[in-house]
Order: sequence, then C-alpha cells, then structure tokens
Amino acid sequence: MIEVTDVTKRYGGVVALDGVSLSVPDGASLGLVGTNGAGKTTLFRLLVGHETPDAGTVRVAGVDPTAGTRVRERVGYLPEDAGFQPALTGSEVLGYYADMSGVEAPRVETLLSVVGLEGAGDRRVGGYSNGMNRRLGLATALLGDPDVLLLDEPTAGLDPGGVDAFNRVVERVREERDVTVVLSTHVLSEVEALCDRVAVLDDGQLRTVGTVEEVVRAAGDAVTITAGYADEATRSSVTETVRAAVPEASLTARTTDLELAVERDRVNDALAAVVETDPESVSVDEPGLEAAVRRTVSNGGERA
Amino acid sequence: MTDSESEGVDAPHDERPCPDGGATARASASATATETAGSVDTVRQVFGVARREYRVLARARWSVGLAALFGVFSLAVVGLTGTATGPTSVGALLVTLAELSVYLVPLAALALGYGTVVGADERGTLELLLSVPLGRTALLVGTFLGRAATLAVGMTVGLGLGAVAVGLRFGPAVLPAYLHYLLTAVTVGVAFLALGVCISAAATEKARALGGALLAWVWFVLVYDLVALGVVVALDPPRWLLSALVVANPADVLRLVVLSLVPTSGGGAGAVLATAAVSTPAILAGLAVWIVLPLAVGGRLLGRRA
Repeated sequence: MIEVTDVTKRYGGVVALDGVSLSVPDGASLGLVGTNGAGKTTLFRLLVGHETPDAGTVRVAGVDPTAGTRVRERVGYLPEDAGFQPALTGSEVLGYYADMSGVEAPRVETLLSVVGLEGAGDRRVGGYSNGMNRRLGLATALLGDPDVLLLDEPTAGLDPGGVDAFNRVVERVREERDVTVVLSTHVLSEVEALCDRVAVLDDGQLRTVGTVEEVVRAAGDAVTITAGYADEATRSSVTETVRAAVPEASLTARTTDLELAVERDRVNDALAAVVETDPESVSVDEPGLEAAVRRTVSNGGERA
Repeated sequence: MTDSESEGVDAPHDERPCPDGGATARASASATATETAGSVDTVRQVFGVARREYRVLARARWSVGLAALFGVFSLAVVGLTGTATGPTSVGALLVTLAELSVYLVPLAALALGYGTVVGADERGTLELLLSVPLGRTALLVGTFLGRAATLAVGMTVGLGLGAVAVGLRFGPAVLPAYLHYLLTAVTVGVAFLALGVCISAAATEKARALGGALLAWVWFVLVYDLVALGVVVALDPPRWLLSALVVANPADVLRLVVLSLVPTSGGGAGAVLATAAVSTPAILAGLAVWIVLPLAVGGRLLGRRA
C-alpha cells in the first residue's frame, strides 16, 4: 500500500509537488503521466526515501521511506538514469546489488533469465544496448523480491521491440507476484496495457487520478484536431477565423499549433474551417487516454 | 536525503511486545542478536562495496597506471643517484624522493578521489545504490576503502620497484629507511584520498570537484609552506605551534618523516621542519585525523545530497 497525503516538495523557489495526495492499494498498478518537469521523478524520490517532503506524509508498505533503510527492503526501484559500471559484467552488477540486498546467488541467475539476459550475464555492461541496460535495471529492482516496484520512465529511449520486451517482463512479474507497481511513462499505450489506474501530474499538481476509463470520461468525449502552422504569427492570425467558424470548439494555442476540442458531430465542420486556413499539418485524435491527458494538462499551452 | 538515513547502518528495531520479564529478557536477547547481525551485515556491505570499487578501478587500469607512475618515478630517482644531476648519497636519495613525492602523491590521490561521489551521482549509480538497503555511511566508507586499496597497491608496487633498485645499489641495510618512506608515502596518499572523497561529496558537478581538488593541491603543496614560513619568520612560534603547523599538512608529514630518517642540513621549509621534531604518536594521530575527518565531513555531505 502506498499512501501519499497532501505532499509538497520545493527546490528553492520551484514547487516540484504541490499538495499531492494519492493512494495505491496492495497489488494494484498506477501509471504516472505528465509533461517533463511535472513532478513524476520527485514523487518517485519521495517514495524511495531519497527526498523528504516539505509538507505532508508518505508511507510505503506502512513505512516512512526516510526512516532508515527499511523501506528499501520492501521496494524495488528503477530510476530514470540508472548508471551501471560499464567495466563490470551483467552478472557482477546483479551479484553486487544482490550482496547489498542480502539475496542468494541462485536468484541472480534466475533473474537474468526472467529479464531475458541469460546469455549476456558474462558480457560487460558497457557493451549492452539501451534495452539490455533497462532490463538489467529491472532485474536489479526485482532482486529483493519487493512488495512495491517503482519504475521511473523505464522504457525511455527504447525502440518499439525493446519497449514490448520490457513490458512483457513487467506483465509476467505482475502475473506471478502480488506486487504493487508505480510506473511513469510518456507512452500512454504502456499505461493502458500495464496499469489499473492512471494519475496525471501537471506542474507539480495532481490533475486527476482514476481508472483509464474514468480519466477519459472525465476529460469528455471531444475529438481533438491539431493544426500546425509555419510560424507562431500565422497561427495567431488564423485563430480568430477558426473561432468564428466553430464557436463551440475549445481552442488551445501551442506556439505554432492550434488545438480544437469539438464534439463528434461537429468534427467535419471544424476540419473544414481548419483546412480553409491552409495549415501545414492537421491531425485528428479520437477520444482516448492520449487525448484525455492532453486536455487535462494545461502546461505548454494557453486558452486561445 | 536525511540524517536519519544513516540509521541504515544501524540494526533494525525489534518491535515485539514484552508483556512479562521473561518475554522482555527474550526480546532483549533477540534485540542484541539482531544488533549483532545488523553490525555484521554492515561490515559485509562495507567490504562488498570496497571489493566492487577495487574491481572496477582495477579493470580501468588504475592500479597498473599508479604502479607504472610510481615505478618510473622511483627508478628514475634511484638511477640518477650519484650522477652529476642526481642525489649524491643514500640520505640525499631519500630526501629527493620525499621532496618529489610531496608533489606526486597528493596529485595522484586527489585525482583518484575527486570523482568518487559526484561521478557516481552524474552517472546515476548513486541513485541506484541508495535504493538498496545500504546506509550512506557504509557506502562512503566502502568506496573509500576500495579506492584506498587501489592507491596502496599501485604505490606499493611502484615504489617497491624502487626498493629493489635501492637494495641492489646500496645494499639491504638501506631498505628499512626506504620502507619507512614508502609506508609514510602511502599513508599520506590515503589521507589526500580522503580529502578528495570529501571534495567529491561537496561538489555538485565533476568539473567543480576537479577544480576543488586542484585548489587543495595548490594549497597543500605550493602555498602552505610559504604561509607557514611566514608565520615562523614573523612570530617565532613556540615548538608546539611549529609541530601543529607540520601536522596540519599531510604533505609536510611526509617531508618530516624522511628528514627524521637521514642527517641533512639545508634551509627553507626543510630546515623549519627539521626543528619541529614532532613525536611519532603525534604524526600518527595527525594522519589518522586527516583520514577520519574528511570522511566524516564527506559522510555528512553525502547525507545532505539530494
């Protein structure tokens, strides 16, 4: 069980998290999404005890993460930038962390196999691909047979095959063990595939939390049309034209892009109005998690 | 990062209730056993970290590089003895070795130490290491021990080559004094390594740590003696202050130990050091402080590192 209650964390004048409260029941999985700098990594660092909240409380498996190292016996953590010593082999890296966690050697071999690195244990980590590095990181996080698995953007920088391979391992772990998972990612299909619930962080604040269906429903079933223009001045000049043509649309300006959220029965009219303004690109997003998250986060855009 | 994190090296608490005396006694015995197990775990973790650090540095050829550096250095000085440009006697040889070691040993040790913490932080290793049940103190001490072993092995092998050359050239009677020099040089190197680790824990970027290490080298190797000489000339200090000035700089400890081994005369800082006559326990205590204090400060800084 993870309990985050009214947590605020500041770095100097920057508020990284602002009054965030959420809970993740035992065995559940939560996807953390949001823009860069939304506060996802700060939340992970609070959960693993690397940071202390300025206000509010954090409990992981009933333990205050900053009280000694006890929480780390229950938590497996894969940070966004987990750096391994390139001079060591995969087996040596895992063996080292196993030693620190009091884990027996046979489990090291088992875990290498679980993450699909059984043939690469004797190779130096410096020669590993990005995907192999991330899977080695996952094996490290799984070493202590944790109750809670914290994965901070585990598939960032991986090719689609690498993402699939990584996610298959996480799915298998979830099937075999009653482990609580918190996963942050920009790949929303990953959240839909792996997580029971999703939390949207934006500018340090928790905008919404719920099941994928709940978040999508809360964001409305509007279709999002995004028109891209050559420059910001062009986008600015056509905004009023589009607004006049589709007054019921909700418009958001993002530098050279103009986003329109319209009800499904008005999509054709809106598209026609947009095409009239001669944009360089047009895309249409059906209602779904991607569109819901876009509409939920206000960061990077302003109401036009 | 919190101070309470250092509890990671302590034993876990025994939270069982103790309703009667017998249960209390059993719980107490259990708590003692748990504390002992916790201490053993901590020691195991410290040496585990040290072993890994040593292995990583060995693969990066640090030991070999240090051995080659000090080997070439000592063989060159021994080889030049008796030549027109080299030392003229065994005593002069040891003094020359010490004088040149004062530049080389701190430089090598600081180079080995400055990236210890900040380098691991920049690479992301620190984040991962601190997510396992490993106390920050255990991590810092283990890392330091691994690096100290690398430095000690490299210096001993390198300067050991010089010992062989000295033995062949001047006979075995000279070896005890040379080994005394070697041991002191290694200890002084370890003290500068501790300083480098402390600088590394304080720095926010590796480049800043390098700058801090270079400043430390300039202060202890180039500037300190000038300041100390100025103090001596201006104040004519009592002997205890002179001794304190010597022990306050590990580099001067190396000079002092070697000067105490051979009868020499001369001027400048060497002459001042020769009159300091610091006792062996004071020298050992001074070097111990130079190892423990930077590590303690480094541990505090690591605890505050976010």
